[in-house]
Amino acid sequence: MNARRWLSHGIALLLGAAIAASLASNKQGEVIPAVGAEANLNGHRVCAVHVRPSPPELLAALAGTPMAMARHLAMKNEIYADWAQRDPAGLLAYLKNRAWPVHGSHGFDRVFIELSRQQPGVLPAYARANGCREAMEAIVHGDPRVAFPILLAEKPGRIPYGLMHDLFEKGEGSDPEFHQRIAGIADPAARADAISGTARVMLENRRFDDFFSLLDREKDWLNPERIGAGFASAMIKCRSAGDLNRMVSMADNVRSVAVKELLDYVSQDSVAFGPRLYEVDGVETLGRSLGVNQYYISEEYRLGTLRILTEHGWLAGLEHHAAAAITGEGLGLCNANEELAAQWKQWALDLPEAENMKMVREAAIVRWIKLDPEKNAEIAGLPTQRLRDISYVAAVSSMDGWHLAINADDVRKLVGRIADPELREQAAQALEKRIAGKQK
Amino acid sequence: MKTTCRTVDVASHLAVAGVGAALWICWQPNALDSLHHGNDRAGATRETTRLAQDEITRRVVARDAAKQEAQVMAAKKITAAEDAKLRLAKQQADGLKNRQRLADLRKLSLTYQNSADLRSPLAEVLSGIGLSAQESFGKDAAMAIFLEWHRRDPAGALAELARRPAWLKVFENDYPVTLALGMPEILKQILNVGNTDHYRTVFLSCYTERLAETDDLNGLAEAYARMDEGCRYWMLPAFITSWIPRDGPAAVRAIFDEFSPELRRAMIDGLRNEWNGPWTADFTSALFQRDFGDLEYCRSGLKEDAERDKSLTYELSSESEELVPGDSKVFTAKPLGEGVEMMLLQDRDYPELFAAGKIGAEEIYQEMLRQLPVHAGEPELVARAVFKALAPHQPASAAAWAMTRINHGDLIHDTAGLLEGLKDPRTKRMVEVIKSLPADLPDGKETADLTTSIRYRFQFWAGIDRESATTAAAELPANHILARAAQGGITGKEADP
Repeated sequence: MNARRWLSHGIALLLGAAIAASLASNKQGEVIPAVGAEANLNGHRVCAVHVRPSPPELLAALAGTPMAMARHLAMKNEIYADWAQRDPAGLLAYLKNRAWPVHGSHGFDRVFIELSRQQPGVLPAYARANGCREAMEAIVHGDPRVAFPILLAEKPGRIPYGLMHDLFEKGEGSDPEFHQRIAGIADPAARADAISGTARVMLENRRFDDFFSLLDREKDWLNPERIGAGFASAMIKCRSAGDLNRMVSMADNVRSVAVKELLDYVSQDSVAFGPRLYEVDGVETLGRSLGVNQYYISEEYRLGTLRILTEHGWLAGLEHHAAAAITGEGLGLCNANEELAAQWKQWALDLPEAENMKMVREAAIVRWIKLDPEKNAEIAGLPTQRLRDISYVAAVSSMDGWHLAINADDVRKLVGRIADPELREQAAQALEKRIAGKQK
Repeated sequence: MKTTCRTVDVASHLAVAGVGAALWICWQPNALDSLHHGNDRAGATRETTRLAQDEITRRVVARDAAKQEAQVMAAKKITAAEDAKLRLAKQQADGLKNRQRLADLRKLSLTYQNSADLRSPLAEVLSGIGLSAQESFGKDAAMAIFLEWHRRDPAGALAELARRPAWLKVFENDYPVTLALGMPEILKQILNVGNTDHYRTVFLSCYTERLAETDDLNGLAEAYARMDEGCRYWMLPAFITSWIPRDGPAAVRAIFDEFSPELRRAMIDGLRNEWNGPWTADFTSALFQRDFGDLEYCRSGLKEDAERDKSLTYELSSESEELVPGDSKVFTAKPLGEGVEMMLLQDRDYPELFAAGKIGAEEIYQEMLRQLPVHAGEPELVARAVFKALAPHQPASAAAWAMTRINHGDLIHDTAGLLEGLKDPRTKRMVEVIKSLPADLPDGKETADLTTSIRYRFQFWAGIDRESATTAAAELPANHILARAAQGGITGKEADP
């Protein structure tokens, strides 16, 4: 074989290798990633026979298939829901330059919740890059033990308000020792948030000892407004006035908020707390309505609360609130009785003589006579003229139409007993107006 | 000879080239694989497209069948007595399942028998509940721990249950577990006013369920006498809903001769208000033989319920509102926007096809005009509805097309409405949409809600990442009212107009 032949065969050899390489690379270049294809354990793609259609392929097939609107939406929702569950990050990546699916896609709403369970660490980065509140807030749907360090790694001041609250509420609900983590939070706002979430669980579940220890430990970090208000609402929910005594160990700034809130609550016949949301399988749903939303304030509870607050001197500076709570404009009289009425009277008379308690005493006396106007004969025995006068006014204004119709003269006599001429005149005019109204 | 030599020459060159190829393949062990798989993958793409279409067809067929079955079942009626009989059979079958579930949980609880401390594994499983991988296991484990804890220390287990709302939630949804508790123990939890309302309600629910399941009218009367008004108010309707008397005449005797007047009244009243009453044939017949006394006014209402035929509980899905493509009559009663919105998803999912670039806006618009001849006289209104439906998908191309069909004033108005109604949680995507649509939105009442919403979005965004929020806001045209709103959100104050 001559040199020329060697050369031509060598070229043929190289050409053969080059053709083989080029064919292979051409084939590889044609490959469109088969999204649905799954990788086997060796990292090789499983070939066509195992491939199943990917969600985008299903969506594309669905889009071109004639069917009614409702069915289009239902089937689209089904594909999204399944995708959100199996590969939430993949779904979010697919949507990068696409519209957010909205039509009846409640299944799709789970995408962030699923992500919080599968890859919670991705959420803050996604939220920051996209300005997405839902992504950030979804972190609390996952394991609180995993979510906590993720949030803690955020720069100070970057944890949205309420997020630590929700996280600690969930964490403490699973593990009553979860609150030990609070000490590790350096960001003051986030720490106050965490304290308030923890306090909520403790109060809702009547873990009062734990609650007061928490307050003691975290007194420099807590938000007095939130803690005080939370304590007041918990007291209303457990309807045990006796537990109020525990406020002795509360810091003044927390207690004053709690007392003010309590006075607001007892100035009503019932208190409705917003519907409580419970999470069932990741979806928030309205909780049971029985005894959860509406709390009736009994007369015993109202009086018991006032008694305790007075005994401890906690009404100082809040006398106006207390008087308003006792005479409360919308307060009904139906759940009271003679005995309770007498207790109001006695409590009023036993109140300290201090000037600032005057309006509280007057309010309590008015409450007594309103609850039991038939006892107007006892008014004369009250210690001061002012108390007697306002009692007569309250008794007259409490008389029902039937009473006025048949005993108008007796009622007029009661008005006549009012010593203050101005007050008597006003009461007389009001009475005559009512009588005239009845006669019409 | 020369020809033979040339043939041999060509053949030898080809052979050498083949050797070259073989050598390359040997040197690159995956090459053959790659060649082979390249074919597979190209084929796979076509294959998956076909499979996707097959899968959609399969789902459509399944839905048609389910719908047909639902229609058939919904048309079937049964008497109240047959309904009660069916419900009793179901209750008994459920009873067996519940006991099996309890047995399974008890078996699982054995794994915790050697754990001195149950608090740690409990915190572990409760925190993990909801994580997809162990959803069911977490709940099972939580209940197994309860059983083990309760075996060791019943009062302690219940006290711990009250301390952990997450545990109580699992317990609440797992009725079979409550079968491990004695009725007096459950009643004690309900009567203890020191327990929270929610905790008491959970136990009240399972107590009532158990009374109904065991047809225990004596138990009902005893519990009723000891409960407060709130519990009574809840308990009786719940009992009546689940209770099917095994012996109708005996049940009627108990109600009329053994119950307190208060409970009798509540029971009769409850029966009157309950559609799924315990209307077995012998109960109904025994009931109406009795003198109702001062409750006589209830008789006709009760009779009506006892004689009312029931539908088998199959609900027709909203898909029953199927429309015939092109049937314009359907849309005459609907506002035009709504009609177009429906039509865009009728026949084809046009917005999805538009987003994928498979169809243009003009083509969709023409299709809508064809499908909705009733609105042929209002082409611009149809165009506006099409624009609003398509813009969230491909805002730039939707806007470019809209300018050829919609007058500028209307386009601006629709842009504001569209942006206000856009339910996209990604502010970044909102920016993309905003900057692709007409920018001269009016600054007034019409856009007040929109600017507020943008301000809040950017306020939140700046709170978690000021830099990204600022970069995104800078992408909006400087004179855009939403650019000012975004800036206001970032700085935390109203920007100067």
